[in-house]
Amino acid sequence: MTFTEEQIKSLAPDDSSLRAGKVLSARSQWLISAQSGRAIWGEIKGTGSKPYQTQVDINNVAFKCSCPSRKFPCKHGIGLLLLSANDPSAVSSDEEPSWVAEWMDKRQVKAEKAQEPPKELTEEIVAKAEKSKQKRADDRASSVQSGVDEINLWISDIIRTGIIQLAQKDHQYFAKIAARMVDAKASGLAGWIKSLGKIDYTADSRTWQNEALITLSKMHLLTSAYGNLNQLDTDWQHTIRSLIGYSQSPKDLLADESAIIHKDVWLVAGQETTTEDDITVQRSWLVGIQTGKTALILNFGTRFAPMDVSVVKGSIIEAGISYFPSIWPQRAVIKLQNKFLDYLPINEKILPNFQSLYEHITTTIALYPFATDIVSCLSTLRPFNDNGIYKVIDSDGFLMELHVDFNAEKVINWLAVSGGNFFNMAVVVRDYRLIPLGIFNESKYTLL
Amino acid sequence: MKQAWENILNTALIGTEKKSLQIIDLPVEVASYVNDLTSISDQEKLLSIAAYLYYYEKAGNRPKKYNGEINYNPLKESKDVINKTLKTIYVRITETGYYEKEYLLNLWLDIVIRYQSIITPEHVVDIIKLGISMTKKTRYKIVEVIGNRGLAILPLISEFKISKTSSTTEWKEGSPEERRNFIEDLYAVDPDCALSYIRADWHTENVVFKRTLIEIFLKEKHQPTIDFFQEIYNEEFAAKAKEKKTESECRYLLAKALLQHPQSQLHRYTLSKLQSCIVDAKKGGIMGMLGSKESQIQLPTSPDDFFNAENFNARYGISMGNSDAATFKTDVLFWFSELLAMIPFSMITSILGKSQKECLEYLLENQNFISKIEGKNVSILLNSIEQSVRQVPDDELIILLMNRFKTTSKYYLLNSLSKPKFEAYVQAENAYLKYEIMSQDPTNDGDWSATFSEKILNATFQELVIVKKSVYDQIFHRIAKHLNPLVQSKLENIFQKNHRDPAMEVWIKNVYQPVKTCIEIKSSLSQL
Repeated sequence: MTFTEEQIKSLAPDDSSLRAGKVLSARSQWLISAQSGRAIWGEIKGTGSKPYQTQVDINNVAFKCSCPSRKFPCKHGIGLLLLSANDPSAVSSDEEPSWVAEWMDKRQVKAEKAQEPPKELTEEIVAKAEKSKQKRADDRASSVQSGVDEINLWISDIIRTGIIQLAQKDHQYFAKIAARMVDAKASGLAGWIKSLGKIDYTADSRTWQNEALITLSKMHLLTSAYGNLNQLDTDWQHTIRSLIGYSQSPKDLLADESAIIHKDVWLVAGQETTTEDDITVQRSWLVGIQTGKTALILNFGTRFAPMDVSVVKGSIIEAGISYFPSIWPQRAVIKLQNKFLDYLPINEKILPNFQSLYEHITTTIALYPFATDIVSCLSTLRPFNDNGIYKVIDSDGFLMELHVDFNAEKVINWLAVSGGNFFNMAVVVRDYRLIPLGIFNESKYTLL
Repeated sequence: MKQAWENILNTALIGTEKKSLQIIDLPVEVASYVNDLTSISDQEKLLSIAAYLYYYEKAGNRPKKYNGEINYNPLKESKDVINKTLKTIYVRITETGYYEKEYLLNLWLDIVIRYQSIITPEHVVDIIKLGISMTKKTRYKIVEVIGNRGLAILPLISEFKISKTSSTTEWKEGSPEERRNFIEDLYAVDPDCALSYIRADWHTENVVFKRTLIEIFLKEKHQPTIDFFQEIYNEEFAAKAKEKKTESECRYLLAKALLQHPQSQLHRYTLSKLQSCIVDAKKGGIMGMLGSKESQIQLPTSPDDFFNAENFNARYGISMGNSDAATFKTDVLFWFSELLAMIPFSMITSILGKSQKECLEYLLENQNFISKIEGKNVSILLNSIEQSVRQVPDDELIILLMNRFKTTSKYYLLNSLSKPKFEAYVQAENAYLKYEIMSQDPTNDGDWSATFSEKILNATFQELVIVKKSVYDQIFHRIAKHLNPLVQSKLENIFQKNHRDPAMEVWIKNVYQPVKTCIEIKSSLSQL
């Protein structure tokens, strides 16, 4: 696969690594640089007596370098990828040296092993493990239930005594309740409390009052649903549990042989990285070009555990994904990745206009009221200056506002790339506002 | 439905214990759900109805149609987008070090402009942002390659500070600094147009800004500009009984500019007046006999029809205010010194009929032009000659003059030398790594000679790897930019022979890698 500069930038752990990587991306920096069908490798002079050996798995993106850097990927990995992207002739095709072949073979064995069925265990061990698992589940359910009960009581008190008091509460007030929810293993509820604390209570009073009441009513809806969990079908149970804060394990899903695999040419249409409480969350929005399905890949990183950067923004992958069970399946893992494509097949699963987008949103929310980011591909959109405020207009003259997360800088880039022309686009709908992700132009997809 | 929401919100605001929940005006679909909510508390009921109403309202959401007139004027480009090679080189340039980047980008921009191409749309914002920290000259070139879509977004990136579309606005309404920059940049690309702007608004400008404008074009040889200078010198800035100091300063600057042009009336007048000061004196021999004749300047000891305060103020804008009695024994000497700073040195060689060296020796060593200050003999014309040389640079004269300065201030003259002379000077002084000298390198574009490049390469290697001393960063940057590609093999040789030496790390980082990158990029560009 040929990575673009933009995609490589998204792989860098921070700006300084990217800058250093850029410096190392000149042909002259590398003593050797070559590639096979599955890897790129190079040797570069470092501070040690021996040159550093850098290698990149280009199909299931992964890096390895013999340098002592604790950053991942290191500047050498970034530099090597930039070199291959910007100066392909500098990375000639060659036979893999032993140090590359060894690593790649190991990765392949590991990947195959992950798909092997687990070793057979004795009935006794299975029973013991089941018992232990059940105990953990019961303990957690009990803990979560106490958290839900506390939140129900808290919401009820707020409504009984009036939400006007929320405007007088400081950040600590919400943080403390959120922390108690985390302790109760209901991190989803903690997130709702935090969002309540983030409302701008100094803004126009009707605005914050509406926001607060809507948030509280959604929380009530959620806790009520949790109270009725046993009466719901399995997909709803998974969905509600996930919203409350039960984590979903990509590892388990990858190992689950019964999980349905959705094969398609998947476009990583956009990516968003946010950091909260020292945890970096990377959301990658995928669009299935042939099926029209959409998916969300979540990756997490902390100071101690680097984020998996294998999902490359703007890349087109022939792959099979599996969704976590949900009433509105979106979060997924990439289960089978065949190859990266250098071209984009024609995307026919595309909504014709904003009218149809709204219908799609209504259908989605009717199915799953907690839907937040709805990814769609839309026909013929362009930027539109409505009295100094940039919005999005479709070819029928209908307008949608841009979400605040699509900042002025991105608007400028969109204007430059589109030249004000209509283009088919991939977008995220967040709170009925748009976050344009990229532009389809024949067999090319340009990220915004 | 709006009323229903208002009722619920009002109850929620002050709480259900103070205000009972009133359920009215509910949409039928929502009301049917609410009827089922019997066995729950008021708080739960309120929250449930709020949720129902919220989703009911959202389900009915529809996009808004724009009612105004929609002007659809997509931008079309008249120029072709750069090819893949140029795109690749551009990306590589963006990855070079800060100091090399602008230099290389300028080389790239020159080619793109020559090809009449524009940058790829996805890099338009990138190049504009890159230009923010660069010189105006570079930014003007960037404007040339961003196409119509780039021009359309320029006003949205205010830090770029150039908006071609609003140039007239900048001239008409900008701050003095913006106007100065604008006209200077415009003059560089289109002097006739810049002059037409200046002429059109000249009568409305204040005298301070007029002086600024004159200063900008002091060295210009553009004939219409000289004609304009002559015009305002004759009329607007002709001496008046009562005038502002700035007005006489304008006259001084104009006179200085006109004196550089042999066809100007002032040049001819000055030349004839100075010629009349030349006398033949006998040189050598016994008692003044049998020696050869030598031209000398014989200045009057008291004011005459040329050397007088009124004439020097009226013609050259020189007033007596700056005269230093300790330095200049007579007023005439002061005027002569001031005049020397304004005229090209060739006027002196012409009237004395001597070589530059002889003239310099004469003016700096003749007893008539030496004063004793604090017990030391001082050549009183040295600074004037330096000013004259700066106005009209001449390699031979610069070198001769530099030898007359005892302090490091002489190095400032190096910047006026031609490239070969500068290289010869550095070589003679073995000053490859001497910052105060190398920082005056006049090489702005292009490469050093191969010989010079090889010597400076050896010098950095010697200093960094053998002697293990540090070298100024600025010298590294100059090496990266100007090292001649012909010495690339030398660069590789040094690397191959020594790359296992740990001391090479700093050389590789600061010399080898940046130079290789720059040479590769320059070589790719030269093949286009």
